Amino acid sequence: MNPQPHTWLGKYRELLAAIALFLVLDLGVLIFNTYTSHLIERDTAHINTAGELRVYSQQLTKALLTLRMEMQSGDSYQTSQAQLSESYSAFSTALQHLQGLTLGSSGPGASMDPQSRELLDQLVETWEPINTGVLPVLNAATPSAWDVDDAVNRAVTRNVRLMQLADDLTRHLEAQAVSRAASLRYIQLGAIFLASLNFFFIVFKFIRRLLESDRQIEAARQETREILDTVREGLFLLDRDGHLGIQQSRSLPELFGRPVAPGLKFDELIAQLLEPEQQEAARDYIDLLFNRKVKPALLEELNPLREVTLAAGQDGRRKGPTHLSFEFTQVLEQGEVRALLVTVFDISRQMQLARDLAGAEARASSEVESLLAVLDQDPAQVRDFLKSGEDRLGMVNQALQDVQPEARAYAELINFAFRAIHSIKGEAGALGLLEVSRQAHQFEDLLTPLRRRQDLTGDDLIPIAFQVGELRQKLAQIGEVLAKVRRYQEAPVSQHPFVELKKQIEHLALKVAEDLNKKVRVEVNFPQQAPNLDERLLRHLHEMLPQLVRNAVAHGIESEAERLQAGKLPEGTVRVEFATTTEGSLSVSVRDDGRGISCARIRARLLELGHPHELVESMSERELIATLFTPGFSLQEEANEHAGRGVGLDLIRDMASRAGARIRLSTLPNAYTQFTLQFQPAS
Amino acid sequence: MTMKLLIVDDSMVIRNRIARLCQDMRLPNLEIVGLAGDGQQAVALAEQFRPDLVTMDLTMPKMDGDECISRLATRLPETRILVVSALSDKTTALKAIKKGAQGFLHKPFSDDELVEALLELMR
Repeated sequence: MNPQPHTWLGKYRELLAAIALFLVLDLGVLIFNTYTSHLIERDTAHINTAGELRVYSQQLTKALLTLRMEMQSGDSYQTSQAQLSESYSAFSTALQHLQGLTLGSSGPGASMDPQSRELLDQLVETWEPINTGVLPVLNAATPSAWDVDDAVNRAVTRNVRLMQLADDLTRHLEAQAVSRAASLRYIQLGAIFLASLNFFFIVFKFIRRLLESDRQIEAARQETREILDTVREGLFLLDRDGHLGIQQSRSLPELFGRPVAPGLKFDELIAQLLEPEQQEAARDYIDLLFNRKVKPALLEELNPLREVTLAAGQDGRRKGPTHLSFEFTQVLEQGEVRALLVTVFDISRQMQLARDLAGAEARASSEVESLLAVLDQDPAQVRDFLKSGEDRLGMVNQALQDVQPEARAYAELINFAFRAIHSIKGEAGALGLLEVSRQAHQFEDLLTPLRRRQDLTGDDLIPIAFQVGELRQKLAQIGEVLAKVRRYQEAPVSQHPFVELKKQIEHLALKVAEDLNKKVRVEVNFPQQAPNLDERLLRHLHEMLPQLVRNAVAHGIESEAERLQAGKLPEGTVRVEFATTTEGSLSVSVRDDGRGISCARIRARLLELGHPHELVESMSERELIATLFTPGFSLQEEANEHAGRGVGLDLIRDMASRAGARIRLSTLPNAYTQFTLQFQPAS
Repeated sequence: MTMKLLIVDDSMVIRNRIARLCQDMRLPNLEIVGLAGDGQQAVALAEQFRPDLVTMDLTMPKMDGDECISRLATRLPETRILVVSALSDKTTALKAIKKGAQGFLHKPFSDDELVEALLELMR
């Protein structure tokens, strides 16, 4: 349905062809008309000339006869001689004109049809003897009587024939002109007919195309209308100026609980629905949506209208949904955001479900708390309560099974059950078992109205059986928790925490060594008398020791080749030593027999990182070592999984300060590096 | 090409967590150039080290993240900023993005989420 540029011409191709045909036809007819008119004009001239031949022939004969007569009577004959000369000259010129002698090969004679040509030839043939006879008369100043007689004889005998031929030629040429005029008419008629056909074709095509495109537009409009009438979501377009588009889904007013006119400002729409703060967020967000630089994934995440709780109406209630969700999709045109397609969902039900679920979770957690509350009570009392409660519920259950099918027996049963449940409720409340007492209370609520009734039936007992089951389950849960606690207490105590720590350190060191293709031996030594570590200290050790050991293996220990070259054993050693002072404080050292830390190397690295030369040169060894603890500094140029990001020592410093420990670093190039953590004595 | 990262958060725990996560194998071209605990420190460090990336908390003492983003956006327009803030801060986050931040990460976040957000920003 979209007009595509390259097919645009195609759509109008036939129309353009028809117009071109029309123009070609017109041009053709115009050329033909001009040509034929020219021919007719020439034919008219020929007809005139042929007619003149007849007159001049007559005049010539008459002039000859007059001349002879005047000569015989001795009169002056100059006038008739001049007339003769004049008519001869006129005849010759006319004939030459017809023959085309004066105009060369392109003259009329050349373009004449065979029949005219033949008539003209006969005319010339008949004229020739007269011409021969007249010439001596014309050329002599005083023509001889014999010459005049001869000329008269030639003219008189041929004049009739000559006139006859001139008439024939005239008629023939006339007939030819009439036929040309007729064909000119036919051609014009034909051309007008074709032009009309062409015109009707154009009109027909054009109208049909208009109708077709009208039909398509109407169908598209109909489809859009059906979609917009049917979707449950609210759909509309939002332009750059914040106006709503003309096309909207029918559900929109229902969702917003108000009429939504096309062209309405989005600000006005949300002003009545949202709190002021949300409105501002929405405006900011829409501004961002029109900004192509912000990434779509981020935009989606930032949508402040994904879950919107609608503000209540003036009467505190509002019709329709309580929660809406807005989704915005960018409508792009040539890389620019032209508008936003806004989709509005009614999420009231989902929100209700989510609230219900959250409520259920909160209840579940309160049940857990209630179960844990039992641990605060005297175990003997709790055990007694569970036992007596179970006995009472068992009795109620038994009574339900044995009851006689009569109203009085039912009433007695209900009273019995009520007393039993009431006792359970009281005892549970005293022991702080709120969940049990709540359940028992619910049971009482069921029994209270039944106690007042006289018309009890067997059906009334069914909910009681159900409630007995529920309450028994609650008691059983408490029993289970207690059993688990007992089992937990009785479980054998696991090994000393140091053993875990040792295992962890060894495992890590070997893993790092393996990854970096080094050989390492780890020794972890505890003091004879293990210090009494509190949980906090142990957690700090778990955080810091792996970092130090990782550093020792990654930075301290050299590769096998380097070690051999330095005259060391191929296998490096990392030793972790625990010691306690007399004051009871703990110190832990991590020592490797690796390359040590060279101040020259730190200097070089600092210069490499672009620090000023004078500053670096003026730094003491202590200051140089201290830079190792600054964030982002690493001696290693290439980072790998275990080192080179300049984060390790900085982190250890932070951790140590949190743990209240001091760090000491001692090192000897090509010999060892030792980090010692000195913890404060436990208070 | 190695990119320089500045971590800005008033919580040391968060700072260290982000720093530790940057050792992740998926972020091989990231070098931490500084850790800042407030906006003023962040602006100072950023001007000194000209980081390519900054992770930015919004609620901080001395100078809040909002103000800090405005300053960085003016002085270091090439620096890309990832806002790392609590979920309830959506309105503030929108403002931060409008001021020139390029990414947003909710607190609390998982390791994967932070790595993804940083990778997205490094692209």
